Amino acid sequence: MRRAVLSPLRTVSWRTLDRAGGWRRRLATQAAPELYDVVVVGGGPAGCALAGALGSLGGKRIALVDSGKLGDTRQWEPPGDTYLPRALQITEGNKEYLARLGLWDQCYLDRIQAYSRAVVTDALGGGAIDLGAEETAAYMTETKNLVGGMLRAIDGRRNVSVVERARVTGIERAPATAAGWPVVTLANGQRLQARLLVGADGASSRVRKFAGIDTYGSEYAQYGLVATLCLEELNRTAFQRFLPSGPVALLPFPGGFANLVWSLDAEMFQLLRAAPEAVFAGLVNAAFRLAPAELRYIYDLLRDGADEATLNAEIEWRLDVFAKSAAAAATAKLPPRVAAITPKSRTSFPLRLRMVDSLVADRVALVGDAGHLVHPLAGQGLNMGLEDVRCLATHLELAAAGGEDLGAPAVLERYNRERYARTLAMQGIIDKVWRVFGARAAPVAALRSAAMDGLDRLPALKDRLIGAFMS
Amino acid sequence: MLGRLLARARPVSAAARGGRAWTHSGAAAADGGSVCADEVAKFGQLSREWWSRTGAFKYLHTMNPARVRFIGGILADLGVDPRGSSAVDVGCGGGLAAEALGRLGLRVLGVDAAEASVGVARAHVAEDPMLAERVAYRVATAEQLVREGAVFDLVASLEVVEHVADPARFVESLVRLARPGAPIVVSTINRTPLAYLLDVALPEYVLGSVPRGTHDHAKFVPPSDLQRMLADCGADTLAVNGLVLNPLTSECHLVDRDCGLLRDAGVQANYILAARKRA
Repeated sequence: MRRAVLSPLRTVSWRTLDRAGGWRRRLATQAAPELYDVVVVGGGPAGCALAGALGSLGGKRIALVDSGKLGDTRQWEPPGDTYLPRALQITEGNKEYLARLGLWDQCYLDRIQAYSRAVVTDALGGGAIDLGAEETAAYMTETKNLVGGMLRAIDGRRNVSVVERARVTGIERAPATAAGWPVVTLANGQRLQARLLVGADGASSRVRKFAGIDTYGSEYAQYGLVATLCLEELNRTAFQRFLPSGPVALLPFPGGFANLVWSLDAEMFQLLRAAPEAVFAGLVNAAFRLAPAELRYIYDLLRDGADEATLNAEIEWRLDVFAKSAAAAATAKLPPRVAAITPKSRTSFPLRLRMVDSLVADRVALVGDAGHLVHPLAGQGLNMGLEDVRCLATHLELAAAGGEDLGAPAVLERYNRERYARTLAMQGIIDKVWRVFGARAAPVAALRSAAMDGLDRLPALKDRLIGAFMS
Repeated sequence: MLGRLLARARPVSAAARGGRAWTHSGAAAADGGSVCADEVAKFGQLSREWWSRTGAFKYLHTMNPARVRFIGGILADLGVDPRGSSAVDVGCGGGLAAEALGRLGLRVLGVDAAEASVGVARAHVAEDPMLAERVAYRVATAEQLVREGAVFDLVASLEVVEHVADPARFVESLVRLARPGAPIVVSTINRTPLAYLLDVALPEYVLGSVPRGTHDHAKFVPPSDLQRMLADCGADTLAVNGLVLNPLTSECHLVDRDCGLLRDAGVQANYILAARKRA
């Protein structure tokens, strides 16, 4: 009945547009867009988790759009002899959430390392804190393993359509007939119109730009260097050391492998990325053990183009001296030695702090990195993204049960109200940690190390710290 | 107890729902149904405000998700799949509930005696391309539909019965519109001092959030009366819940009818009731 009223209107507007000459051909080939309740742009971990969560909303049509080859990720066969350098740390709480949604069990679980202990040390002041929990606190997984598992799980949800290899070429508001619902145009010509458009498309989100949501923040003038390490022993502990050049972290994978995340300024980044692979393993061992002055000396040698043998001999000699020293007695605070790095596994990403004015706009919501970028030093990037997903999915489920329009301002405002302040607070905390540990001045270094040692002796406070970051 | 009272100390609903009333045309009035001409005129004048979340009907916007969750729960209890089932919303006003029921998957017919409201409802649903074909509207009364022999898998009439001239006759029409075994959901306001305070005095005279004269306390309907009216025409009550506004979150919640030994404590003002037509 509504149709009968609508179709003449459509005809009228088409005819009018036809007269506009240049538009004629485009309109002639342009079919009406496909309609969805929710279109999620971005098939990364946050986007996949949201699509998976919304897959339980019976009767709602969901689309997940990504420019990449999601099919390859879905069918990924993991290499038997190494781990991929792009990896994620997932907190226990978020893992539980993904498991409840049925998104976790489809991953290769034998490639995921659960761990309960993290040791954080400060190179300048010598402070240390050993964050050990009784139960599993977090999980290390390759990004591809997690996303692949989630995609396989989503395949089983009939109300979710996955559109891959489809770059978003444009987003615009529909004409008045659909109350300004966003229309997403893809490179393959497909057009999707959404009641709610979700930007899960990362730091340089197109959805965010379309929605006109402003961002602000600072560059850390640092790069993250990641790599896969092969250790001399099995390891189930996360290690992080704050160096004057930035924090370096070694995160456990099964079978004696580890993921390295090393934050460096541009010059050091170039230097270490270009270092020969055999030297690089030594540089990682040195980074966790030697004093800042010694490290500076080694980096100077590297900068001056010393050959591989000289560098290795220098590093080995210094590590030997260290092994005989008193500092080495605290072996529990040291990661196992790195035997080698997986060839060609070194990759990088820029480090930024980026905040948004709002996580929502008219029929638009942002989740994950599209809504907040943080320094990876606390491993919170995706965990904040999954908190977004959980919060948004919960509000959308409630709204669906109450017959509400999933893209209505009232619904989105509930999400923004709950998440926006929390996101900012977490970004603030991580930024403060970065600034405190970034300081090289001796008094600051002494103070922070004293604080770490003090904290290490206060189990109750330590537990709260672990709780705040891990669950 | 004071807390409970305070929780309700902001108008729970107050606003009126689509006037179940005659159109301005004398023809409809001649049918001598349950509708009240003054009420129709009243809601016709307010029709432009239906979809404003800050206007005269803002409390309806607040209540709507809770009312629809209640209806969804009743359908689930009865094993009715909303997809493929039909519903009528009698006194649909601007279509707040009709659209929401459509989003549950029901095919919904919204009827209202106020032509202006139906016009607003039609224009609004046309803006939702995923809903436009599942929700339709007509200027009609319950009696008219009964005469046409229409029956539905769900009959809803929300915040309407307190605006009609003859509630018993109105309820009878609702029951006749239900297929045997189908649920009839009615929400309205109890006739209590608290309801006068929350739904008339506060919103209309103190806060000014609802136009004066929207509600007439004398026309409020106690749940026991409503249950009796329904039972008299062959529908047994399944559930009664109170609808309570939390003024801090501006969200509306369903509460139990009784609070321990305090019978009917939860339904002192706004409430929603589901009955089932005997098979």
